[in-house]
Amino acid sequence: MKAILGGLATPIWLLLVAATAASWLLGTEQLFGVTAEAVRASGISVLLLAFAKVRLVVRYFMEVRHAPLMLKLILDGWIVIVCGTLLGLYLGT
Amino acid sequence: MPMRHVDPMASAPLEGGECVARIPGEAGIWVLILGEMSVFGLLFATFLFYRSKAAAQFAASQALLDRNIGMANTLLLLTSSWFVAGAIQALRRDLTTIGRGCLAAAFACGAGFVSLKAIEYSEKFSAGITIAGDDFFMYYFVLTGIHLLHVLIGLGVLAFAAMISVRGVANTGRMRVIEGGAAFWHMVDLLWIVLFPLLYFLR
Repeated sequence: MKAILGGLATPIWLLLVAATAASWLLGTEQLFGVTAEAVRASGISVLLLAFAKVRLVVRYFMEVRHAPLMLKLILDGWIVIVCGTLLGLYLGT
Repeated sequence: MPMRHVDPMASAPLEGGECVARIPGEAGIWVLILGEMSVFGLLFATFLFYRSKAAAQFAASQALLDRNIGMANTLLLLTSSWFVAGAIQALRRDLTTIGRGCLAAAFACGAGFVSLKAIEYSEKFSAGITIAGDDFFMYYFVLTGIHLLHVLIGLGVLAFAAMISVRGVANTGRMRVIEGGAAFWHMVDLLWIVLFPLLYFLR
């Protein structure tokens, strides 16, 4: 069992669950208030949190941290481009 | 310092051990994964583009979604990914029984996702909400439907991985097939990680 529980998978899973709980609070509670700016701040935080989770999955679960530089760059590129585009479209409204 | 030769069949990284750069699974699976991720990236952007044209209407429809089911499904996929990561670590150490058990647990979590999605869809249908409802629900059904198709394919991949996870698999080419399947499953999880807040939380 040490092979499974002793590695990085468990702390990464806990981080992902914690980040999911944080998204839930940001998405359902009015943590930053009820103004348009507050809603927008929640939206930005929810998107950034999602892509932080994506990077954890890519690096640790998909084992891209052990992969050649090219694959690391491609996946980080996807994260930056997609996250940037979504933020731009969200804030452009 | 001389460059280290990277053997594509080099033994996989065991956590805590020294390792050289290597692509998990077959290179071909990454072409598929990157292709799928590009398509989903475009779909996510398309959704937000049309959302910006009708923000109030999208928000009103979003309020009808069942966030509890969405949240439970997120936790199920994250947990399935944890089991798959554990399965890979176990199989590399030739802990076949634990590895197959982890794959079975991951499969169960994935099956749970599918069941909850079926409940969610039927709740929507019985409330008279269909793909023809409005633009928000058109995107909701198309995006979650395409993702669900990937979950179903992923379940097949996990079942196949469990089938070929026999004793001694760690040092064979089959381990790379299992790793590729694991990477595909993590991609299914990753896409939901973006899709979930996009549909359920973004206000």
